[in-house]
Amino acid sequence: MKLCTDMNESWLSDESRLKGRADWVATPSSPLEMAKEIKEAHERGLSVSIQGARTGLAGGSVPFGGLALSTGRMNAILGLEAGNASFFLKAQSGIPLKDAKQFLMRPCGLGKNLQVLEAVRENHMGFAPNPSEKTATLGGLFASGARGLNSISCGSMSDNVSGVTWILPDGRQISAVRGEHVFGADGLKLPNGLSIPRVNGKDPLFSQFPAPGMDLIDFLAGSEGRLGVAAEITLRLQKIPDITWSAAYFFPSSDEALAFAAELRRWRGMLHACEIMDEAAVRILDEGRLRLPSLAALPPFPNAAAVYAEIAGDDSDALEEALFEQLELFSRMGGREEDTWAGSAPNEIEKFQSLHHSLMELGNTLSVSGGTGEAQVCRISSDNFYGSASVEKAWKICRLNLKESGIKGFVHGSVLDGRFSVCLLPTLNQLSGAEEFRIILARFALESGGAACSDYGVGKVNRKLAKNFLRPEMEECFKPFDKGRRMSNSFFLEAPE
Amino acid sequence: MKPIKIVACVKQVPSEGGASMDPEKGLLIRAASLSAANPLDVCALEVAARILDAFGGELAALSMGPSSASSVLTQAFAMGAVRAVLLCDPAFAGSDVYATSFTLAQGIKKLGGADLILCGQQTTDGDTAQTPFALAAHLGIPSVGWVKRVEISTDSLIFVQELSGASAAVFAKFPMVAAIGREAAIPRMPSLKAQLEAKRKTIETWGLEDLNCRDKSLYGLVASPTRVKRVYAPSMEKKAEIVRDPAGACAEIIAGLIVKSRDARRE
Ligand SMILES: Cc1cc2nc3c(=O)[nH]c(=O)nc-3n(C[C@H](O)[C@H](O)[C@H](O)COP(=O)(O)OP(=O)(O)OC[C@H]3O[C@@H](n4cnc5c(N)ncnc54)[C@H](O)[C@@H]3O)c2cc1C
Repeated sequence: MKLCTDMNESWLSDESRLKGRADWVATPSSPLEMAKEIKEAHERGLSVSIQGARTGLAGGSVPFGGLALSTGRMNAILGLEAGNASFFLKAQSGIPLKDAKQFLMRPCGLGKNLQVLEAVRENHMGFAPNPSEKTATLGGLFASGARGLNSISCGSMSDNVSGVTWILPDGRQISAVRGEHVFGADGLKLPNGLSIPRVNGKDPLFSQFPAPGMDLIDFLAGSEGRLGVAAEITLRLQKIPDITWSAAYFFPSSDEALAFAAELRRWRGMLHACEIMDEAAVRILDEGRLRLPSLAALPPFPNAAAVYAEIAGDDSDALEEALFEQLELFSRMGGREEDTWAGSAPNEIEKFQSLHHSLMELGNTLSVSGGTGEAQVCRISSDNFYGSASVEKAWKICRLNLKESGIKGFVHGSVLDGRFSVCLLPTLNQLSGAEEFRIILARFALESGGAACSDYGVGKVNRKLAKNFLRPEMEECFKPFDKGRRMSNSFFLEAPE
Repeated sequence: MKPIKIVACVKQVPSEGGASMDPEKGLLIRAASLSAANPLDVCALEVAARILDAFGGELAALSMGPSSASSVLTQAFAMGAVRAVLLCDPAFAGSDVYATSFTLAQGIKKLGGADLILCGQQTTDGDTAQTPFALAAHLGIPSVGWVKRVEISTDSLIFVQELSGASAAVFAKFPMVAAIGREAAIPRMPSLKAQLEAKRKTIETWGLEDLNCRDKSLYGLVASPTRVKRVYAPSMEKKAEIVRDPAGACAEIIAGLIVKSRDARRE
């Protein structure tokens, strides 16, 4: 490890805009080097903050003293494997998602395992989840429990991970292969003696609640650098649908958009992704056309609120049939033809998919600068799964609370998995109100059997939620990993107020 | 203005990440699934749609390429074309700008000519920015290039072109070719209905035998005077100089470096 200097300025923040400090930095290039650094940090009593591409929105990679360990140099593809008609891509955890995807697509195919690569292409296999930030690393995506809008059909990041080489907080290494280490009634005991107790019921704040039947991989997923580091990751490849159609439906109001989205959810036919955006979100996107290159190629938005729907499959006739059904539904609800946009060519789909990503980017930029004209410290948003609450109810609660808070912001969310995100743009005076807002929505989500996830992950900025909702039993699950001493001060309860 | 007949030329190009260079052979390798309509050609289609909205008339889309290129013509249908023709024949393979524009000219003649032929200013793969002008030369009609704005009124059509820092307003006089730049129009997003209907429309495919001029020696590689000797990435040597100056003279040092590098470039 090296001393942290001014040259490491960018290591002290991520997309949450939270600002930290580090004493040491390290950039290992192999699991062995990584384990060595972590062991040394452990022996010297340093906290460790793991950093991927620092695109996280929850502040999980921001160090507060100790060692900031970046996986940036661990970006090698380790190979493709085939077995049982399944294909797997193994890579170091610091490789950006876009590079891993590019490796599978690259027409030259200059891979080590050329034959397997050809079979992968022939069978249209690929990495199916579609988290929108493609510069994020595989390790970061795994550790923050990332998902794409298509998670209902393709699964989350962790659902698509079949193996992990994991470095424990004391520098020991374990290898987790899906199906090999599964929680039983008493928890899980690993061959190296590590024993993790089970927790009864569901933990509201973590993607990992160690119930019987749970795989170790799913327990480690979403742990945000608290339980150790993913050094290598094996991705399970899935058949990528031959054809994808994107359609955006625009409405005069959010209420009408919601009614349509709820109908689509019930109809479901071949739907892979469905996102709703309220008036404020669409307005921000429309204004963003002048600011973001990804939006510059779009014409003005035809109406105030929007529903984005993506369907995918291999049968073009069936897909077109499904689209006619969607269109009929839209017309029945008073929609006009000129209020739809659609496309199925890859470059067209890219434009549609950039809507979600651009909205996140704009929300981030606005929260620190122009949103209210007043500079703000970090991003504040509320991002919850609303469990058994109907999408109508959850959406209404989000919008109503936002209105009543008097804080500027916008609401959008994935209709298929009942997850809505409110991006708040408070003035400095409204910061505590914004925190309060988050707690109110998280409480509602938890009461509905959902989960509070705060921006696609659990991180430091989530500490207020944690104080309100963390179950003490979860603490017991972490102890075996750090023997009671937190490996990383990115653990939110220890983050500075 | 009376209704006009427009032909828009559209080319299929590799989308980002859809092509790479074979380092040994120096040839472009395309992944068919990762192709798209050339972005500036889509701007040309949008200009066509706007002109038709104002004056009426009809739009035909023309493309030369492999059979997979038909997808870009489907996109043209979705943006308002009523007819789409793919010029596809092994005899056309390996065409350079000269042979491509000759082939397109034959296609336009076979379509019965046009008042206005719209092209994108350049493509993202070939990038020569010459096809529209060569096409005009083959057809013996005038052309206007680097169009950055199109002014449409009830009785006139003006192409405003970029002339390295100046602008020129060119009144359209048909028949003519116009090469459309990116700033000229943001393409519309076709409606779902238009896209679905476009999928069901028939694309005509014409080979050498369908054209009026069937002399094989005028098409494809044999008719292409351009020879690519080697394709390679230029080597870029960048030297970073890190300026650390506690006394705060950084700005001066950096200004000096800029002047030095500017002078070196001038030499
Ligand atoms: C514009 C924008 C759009 C986004 N869209 C999405 C989206 O659609 N879906 C989504 O899920 N997220 C999205 N995100 C959030 C972000 O991209 C994800 O959280 C991503 O997973 C973070 O990856 P990273 O490599 O940047 O990790 P970092 O931000 O560097 O780290 C994230 C967390 O993971 C830990 N970590 C990183 N690497 C490892 C490792 N190898 N082992 C163990 N722990 C590690 C860190 O300590 C930290 O707690 C978006 C972010 C932005 C800015």
